[in-house]
Amino acid sequence: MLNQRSSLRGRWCIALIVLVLVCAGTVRSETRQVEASIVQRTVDGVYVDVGRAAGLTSGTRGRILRGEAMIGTVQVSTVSGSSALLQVLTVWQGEVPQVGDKVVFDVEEAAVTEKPASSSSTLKNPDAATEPFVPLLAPMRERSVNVNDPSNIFHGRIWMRQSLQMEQEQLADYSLSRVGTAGSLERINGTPWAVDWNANLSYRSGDGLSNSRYYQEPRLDLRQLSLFRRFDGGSFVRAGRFLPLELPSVGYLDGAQAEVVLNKNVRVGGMAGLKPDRYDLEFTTDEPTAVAYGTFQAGEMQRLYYSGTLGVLGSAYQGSFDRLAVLLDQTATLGPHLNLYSSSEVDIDAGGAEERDGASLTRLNLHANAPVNKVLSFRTGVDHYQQPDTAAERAVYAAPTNSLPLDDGYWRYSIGSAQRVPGNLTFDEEVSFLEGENYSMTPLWRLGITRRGFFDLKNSSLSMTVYNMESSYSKGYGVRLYGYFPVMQSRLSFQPSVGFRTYDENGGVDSLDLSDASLLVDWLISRKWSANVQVSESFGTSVQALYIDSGLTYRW
Amino acid sequence: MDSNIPRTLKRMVPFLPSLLLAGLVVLMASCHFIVPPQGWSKKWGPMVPHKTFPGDCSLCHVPESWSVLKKDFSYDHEKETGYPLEGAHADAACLRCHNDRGPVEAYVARGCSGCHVDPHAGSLGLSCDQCHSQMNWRPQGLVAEHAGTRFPLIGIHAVTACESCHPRAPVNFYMGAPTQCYSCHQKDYNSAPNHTGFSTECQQCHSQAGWDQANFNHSFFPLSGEHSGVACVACHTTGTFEPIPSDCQSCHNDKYLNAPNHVANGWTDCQQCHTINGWDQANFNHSFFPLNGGHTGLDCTQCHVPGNYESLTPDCNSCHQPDYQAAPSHVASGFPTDCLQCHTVNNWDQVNFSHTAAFPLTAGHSGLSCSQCHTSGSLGSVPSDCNSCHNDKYQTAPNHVSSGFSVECQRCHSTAGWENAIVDHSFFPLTAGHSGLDCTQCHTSGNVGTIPSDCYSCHQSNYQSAPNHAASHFSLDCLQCHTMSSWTGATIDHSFFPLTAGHNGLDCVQCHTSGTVGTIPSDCYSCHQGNYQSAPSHVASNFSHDCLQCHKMTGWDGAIIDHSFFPLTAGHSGLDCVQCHTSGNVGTIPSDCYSCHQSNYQSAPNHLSAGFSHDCLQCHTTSGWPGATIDHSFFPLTAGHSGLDCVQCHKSGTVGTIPSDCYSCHQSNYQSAPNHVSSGFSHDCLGCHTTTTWLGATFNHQFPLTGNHNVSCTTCHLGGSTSTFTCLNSCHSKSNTDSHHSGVSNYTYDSAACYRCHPNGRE
Repeated sequence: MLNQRSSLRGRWCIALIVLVLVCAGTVRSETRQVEASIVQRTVDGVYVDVGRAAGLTSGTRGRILRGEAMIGTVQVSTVSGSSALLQVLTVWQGEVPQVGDKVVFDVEEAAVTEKPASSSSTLKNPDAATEPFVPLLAPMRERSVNVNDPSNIFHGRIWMRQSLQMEQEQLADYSLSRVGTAGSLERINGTPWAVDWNANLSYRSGDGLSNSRYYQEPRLDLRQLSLFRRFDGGSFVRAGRFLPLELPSVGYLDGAQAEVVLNKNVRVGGMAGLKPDRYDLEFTTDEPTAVAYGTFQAGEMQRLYYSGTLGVLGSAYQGSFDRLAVLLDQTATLGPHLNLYSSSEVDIDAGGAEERDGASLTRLNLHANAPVNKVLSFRTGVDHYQQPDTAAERAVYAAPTNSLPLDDGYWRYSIGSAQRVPGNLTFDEEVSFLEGENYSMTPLWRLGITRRGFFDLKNSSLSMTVYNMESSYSKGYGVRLYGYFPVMQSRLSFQPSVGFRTYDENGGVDSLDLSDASLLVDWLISRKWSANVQVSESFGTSVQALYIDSGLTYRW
Repeated sequence: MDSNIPRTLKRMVPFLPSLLLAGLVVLMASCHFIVPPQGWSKKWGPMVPHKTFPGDCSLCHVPESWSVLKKDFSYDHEKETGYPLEGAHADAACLRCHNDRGPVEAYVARGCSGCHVDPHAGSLGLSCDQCHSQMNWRPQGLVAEHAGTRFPLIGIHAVTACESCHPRAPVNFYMGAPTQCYSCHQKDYNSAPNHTGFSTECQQCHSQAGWDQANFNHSFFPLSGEHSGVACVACHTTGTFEPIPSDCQSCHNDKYLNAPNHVANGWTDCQQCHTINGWDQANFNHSFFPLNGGHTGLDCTQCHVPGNYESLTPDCNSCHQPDYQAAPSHVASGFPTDCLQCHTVNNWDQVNFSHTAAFPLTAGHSGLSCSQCHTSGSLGSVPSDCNSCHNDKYQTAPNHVSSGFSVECQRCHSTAGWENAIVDHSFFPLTAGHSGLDCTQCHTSGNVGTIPSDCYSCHQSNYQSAPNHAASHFSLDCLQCHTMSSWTGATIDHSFFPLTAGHNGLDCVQCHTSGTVGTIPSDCYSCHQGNYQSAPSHVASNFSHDCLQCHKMTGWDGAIIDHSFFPLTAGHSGLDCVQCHTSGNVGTIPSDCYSCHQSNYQSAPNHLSAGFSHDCLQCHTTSGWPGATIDHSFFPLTAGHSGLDCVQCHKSGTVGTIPSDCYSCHQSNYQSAPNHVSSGFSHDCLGCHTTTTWLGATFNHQFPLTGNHNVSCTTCHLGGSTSTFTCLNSCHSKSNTDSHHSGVSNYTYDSAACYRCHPNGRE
């Protein structure tokens, strides 16, 4: 009996062993490898170009291979039809997963044969499973999205503002009321056309503005009212009143602009029209203007990059050829530690000049910024302005006697540095030298210190700036304290400011007196509404002014 | 300022309809007709082509709606793109930048103006952050920033609307504003009164602190007095403001010419007479001859010959000679022409001659007729000394001449009257005993001339008749003992040698034995030599002559000797001096004990023979010679050593140092002890013995002496030596031992081997 039981137990054991071996062999035979490539790195992990369709599921683990060498392990955290976000579990010392690295997953065959879900649980796009993966900010690729064509995208803002100053010592009180709006209507009726506008209506009153041309009269400033159309490849046309982004020094223009992208490095364009009145932007036919420009762009930002736009502007004034100017805006990046940019204008006598012959450099802004590291940076710059000797420009300051000479302007040379030190402190120093009529390398300096992060308020800061003042009339020193304290997740911010100054017309040094105190409150009431109020009090010799400024903005 | 608020509000009234309209537009804009409630209309489609976005829509969108982003959607813009989003950019919607206006890289390359249309048309450069911040696009601190330009905003400029100087400010163009004042203030210049011909360098007169408060620095010619408020052209007649001469005549020449006498006298320095407070109020500096009193308000010609202001002298007589001549007696009396002796500048008639200054007419001189003194009929000076007038009385007065009285009459007489002369005897005050004496009592010669002021001159008889004065050669300075009050009752100031205690009440001659009170030595010995010599031992002991070392002033007896150099305490207390100072001399004797106690030492048992130290204090105290205690701590006399007689150890009879090891004393015990010598026991007796007793020695036998091993030492330690032992005796015979160790490897019949295997003596 005992032997019979032992024999039966042995048979069952053998049968179980055989069953296990058979099953094991079956499972092993249904696992296969899936290869993928890393196409994007993000703060959350890396993206690969295969997804659920390839059998990946959340939790699937894989190995990162660079060449033949394994450099780490990953695990699928989020998966869609054709892409997956992987969490990097381990990497060998010193290695960082890079775009292009291979990832190999061991995927069960059963999972492979399983049909993918009808669509991602987070997507309602039935074609998502077959979409190629396009990472965020990756180079543009042709793909189609099955969504409605956009049309009539309407957004903008409208604001009203009231400024009021009460100053009784010298009757410099004034009132300025303004209401304005700006915005755009894009994809008009599904077309690639858009319209942009920016305008404001203001009303001036008070003794301090009694010299204004629009004293106690409504004034409309139409900054922009233009149609815009972008073509595939980046070319565009624009018409109406606009101020070209591509070459801002052209100024406002009532006309048309077109830009054509020749290749990835070169764009050319032109614009022609009538410059509005230089005082109030009223439409006038006094100054027809034409500009031709070209833009060259090459390199990669933050490495080696250059972008320059060269334009030639010609204009007439009241029927006579008046102005020929060369405009050049440039930006260059020479590695991570040096940035250069310049904007310049050279005016060439085209018949309108009365005092200057030939070519004159009328404007130059040349600046260099050198961030040595996260702590230290240097900067330097040259600025120059000289009033162009053109009939149109002379007309600006002609009234009422037409007796003023041209302003020969100035040169300004500056050099500065900033240091971010522990304790959330930033020091900033700058010294500049003014050269011009009555200014012979007059030194102007300013020192600043800023501490960020007060009372656990993100982005809060407190700054102090000390500076000197030098002019042909007076000299002195000033101190300005400025605080920025945002609360309620930066929806409400308080910006107190207080200034102190010395002033002595005789060139001596007077006592440091309170010159002004101010409090600006910005309130982002909602996504659409925002308001601000500023109250300032100014003090000085024979001057005491209370300034109140309030504004209300609605965005949509 | 308060009064301006309604005015300002009033100005705003016309604009209120515009504000209402604006509010209405805002309300309309907020209407759902224009803007979808969630900020995005599905009809609009995606704001941007999603070509550049990941295919995984769930990265950003919630499953329920395209128009709502995931709450936990986050994107580290700086980490992913290298561009941090700061300030307002941090909260900005992504699509504000990433839209279909172009690739964002192109925007970034142009900086702020890539996205924000540059309303300054590039005129302010590309550094938007000089005025704007990412926190708030609205520029702040422009007044401070303006200090970096050619025109810092000072005074009224700091609160002036930008467009007041920058006419194109409404269109955000600020460049090219000229820095000259006139450029902006031309209208003010033209409307200002009297500015025609003025320089357009406004800052010459005006300051930036205020246009109206013109403050031309005319300090080179202060415009004070009558020059204040004068129209500029009144002086700057040419209409230009080039420098003009600053001398008065240049402007005031017409007045000069028209003024009387000015030209004739050649007066050209106007400031000598005129001031800037008024031309007419000439204020000639007549300080060399002050025109006050009666001279005030006189017309110049009353003194000066018209047209001649040079020839007068400042003396009164120059003008007032006629008054002098006409005045009564002036000429006859030969009055001086120094009129101010009698007259003042206030009034000629009110003569106010002060006789006080020359000779006060008080008391007896009051009311006298001038001629009583001015006997010659002239009021000219007469001598002011008394004798000049009163010599007759001096001559007739008794004794004055004979006594040689001074002719300084005022020494005795006063102006109150010749009689009742009072002699000023203050040079020798007649007080106390001298009071009331008749003059002749001192001035015995009848002459009140000077006599010696010393006492002795008058009191010689008293001196000589006084007892002992002459004999004692008392000082002739009587005041040393006597007072002015009385000759008798003289008191002698003997403070140089206070007569206190024993010296009090002594008769002078007890000390001044010679009968003279002249100075005698003040030392004690000079008087008390007898006491010294008769005192016991003083001479023999050669005691000091400074008696106060032991004696007091209160009495010779009861001398107290300061014996602190050798305190007489304990056994030395109460001893008679001679017990120590045996020679009868209290001179210094040795302070060591042995010097006095030598006999005690020698008679004490064993001291001499034991060679005890002469430093008796090692054992004895000053309390008494007996009862000496010996500090034997260097070898504590405890247990068996306690109570032993010294000689039991110090056998030689000397207590000098003997060896401290046990064996030195206990050698006999060692040698007589059984086996100590033969066993080679250590001489370190304490290894087995204690100081309690020699007997009862204990030894830590490492080999247990138990059982069969509880035997006498010599059973194992043969030969009396404990340094060796043997087991191989009758106890452990070889045969018996061998038989017990049958089969034991390495067994040898050897004592050392026994001990190695049986260290406890057991199997």
